[in-house]
Amino acid sequence: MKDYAGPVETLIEELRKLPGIGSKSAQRLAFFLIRTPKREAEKLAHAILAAKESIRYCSVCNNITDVDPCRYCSDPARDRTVLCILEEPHNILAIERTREYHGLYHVLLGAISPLQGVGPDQLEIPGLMKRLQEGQVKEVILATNPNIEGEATALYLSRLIKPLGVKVTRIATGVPVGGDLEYADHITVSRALEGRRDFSG
Amino acid sequence: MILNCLTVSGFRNLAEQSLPFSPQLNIIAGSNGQGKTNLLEAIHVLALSRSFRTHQSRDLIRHGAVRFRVSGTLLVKNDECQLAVEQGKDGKSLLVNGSKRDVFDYLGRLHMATFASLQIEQFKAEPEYRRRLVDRGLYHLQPSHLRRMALYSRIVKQKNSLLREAASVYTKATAELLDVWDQQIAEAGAKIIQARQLYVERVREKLKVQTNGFTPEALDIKYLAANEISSTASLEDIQSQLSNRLTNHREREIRLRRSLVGPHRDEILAEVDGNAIQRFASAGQQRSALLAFNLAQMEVYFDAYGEYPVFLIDDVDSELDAQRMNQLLRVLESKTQIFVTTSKPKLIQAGSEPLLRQFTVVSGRVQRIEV
Repeated sequence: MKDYAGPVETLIEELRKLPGIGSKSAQRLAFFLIRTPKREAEKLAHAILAAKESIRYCSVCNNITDVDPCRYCSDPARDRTVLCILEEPHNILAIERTREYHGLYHVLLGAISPLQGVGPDQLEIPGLMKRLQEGQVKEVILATNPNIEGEATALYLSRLIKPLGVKVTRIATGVPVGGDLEYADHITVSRALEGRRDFSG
Repeated sequence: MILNCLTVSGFRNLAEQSLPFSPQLNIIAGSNGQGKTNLLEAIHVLALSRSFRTHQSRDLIRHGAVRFRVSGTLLVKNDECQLAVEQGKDGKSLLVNGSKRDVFDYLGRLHMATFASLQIEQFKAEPEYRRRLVDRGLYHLQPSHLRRMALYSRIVKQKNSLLREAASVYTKATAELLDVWDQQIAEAGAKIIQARQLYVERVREKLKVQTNGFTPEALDIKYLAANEISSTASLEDIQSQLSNRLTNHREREIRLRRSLVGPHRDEILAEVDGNAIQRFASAGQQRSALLAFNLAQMEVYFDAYGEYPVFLIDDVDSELDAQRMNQLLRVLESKTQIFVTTSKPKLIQAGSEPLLRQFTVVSGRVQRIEV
């Protein structure tokens, strides 16, 4: 038996498919939308459709973009000898925020996870290999997430890339800067200890 | 370490109540089915966030109640600390001094050893239980061990999932992928093996010098890591030995569709005169071996913290005769706080003026009685 009128139920069901939204949040959002003026609802619907229609994956790096190739790939000022490899398009933002990386990107659209049925074939690896074979790239930075799936992906790629004679690096893991050592968890601190470096004071 | 006071509500058949405990010997008496073990279980849940009888914490909620809460005041070297575990229909919260903590941060605050029939059975029959005993002792000394174990078991799950695929189609690509998981197993596994080896070695040393009347002569504990890795091997050595073994077992792992090499498969053996107690010892020897192991773990713990964990004994008279039971209580009561359940409280003799408190449990209601 349904608890609400059909269209409401459908709306809740659709909202519930969104990441991070459970039944309760879906209900709250649905009732909010029902109460909003029609014009607002249309704006939202239009925004979703417009984004859906104009946004696609960059044919070079798989970033989400409205122009192809995306603005990083087509920017002549960027260093074409360094390639940073990421799991998801939104990871680019995290790197860009530093304003310190001027190389190019390659987004895999996922990470290796047999439990979720994701293997190398489901990732955007062929395009990556093609880019590397063009010979311009001298260093690949593996910036997949520091969890076991990201680590597996990094290991897999490094075995694939090293024979091409390209330098392969992995982003460091450790304690957050500006934070208190006390609040970092054990594994993070223990990794930071393992990854310690010579220090010239 | 002393559990000063325990408050329960909505837990099994126990009535909502607060219990002031003795810092030494606490006797929990009552007939069968009244809730004695439920009280020990509540202490166990407070310490480890889960029961020793069931994996489903929701089963612990009293019939008709919507949630349970177990809280306690812990005295650690004169510092008070409030612990609480709450379980509702949709999840569990762990609180330290009123603020929520994740499981890695919660565990290892109330340290505890448990001796109960179920555990003797598990100690004898389940390699996984023996590994868990070692791992629990270990994460008190090395808190990162717990998170490392969690990461490791996720690696094993991922690899198992891949092995199931590989059983139907095994290509060069699958082999390359398995290599990647094997490398992670070797890296993470080596650290776990090394930590366990160091810990088991410390427990062994304690076993050798133990003179409490419970340690069977010639009792020895062995940690068999991937069958043959030496306890003096360096981390790099362990890792490369694991890698080799993983390569050698690849075919078999694919055939059996699960991961067969790594610390999740290691053996911890208790032996008397070189014979595994699982197979060759009498029930009495097995019981003594677990007890001796627990006592040795307590000493290792003492070396690190300068005090002892609390000790729970379920149904003490069914496991030990009166003489050995009292002997055990004498050994323990000078060192730590003890909780024992029994249906025959008269068999327990008070030591030389111990701070003894006796409780009776009738239909889930616990009452302190003067002795």
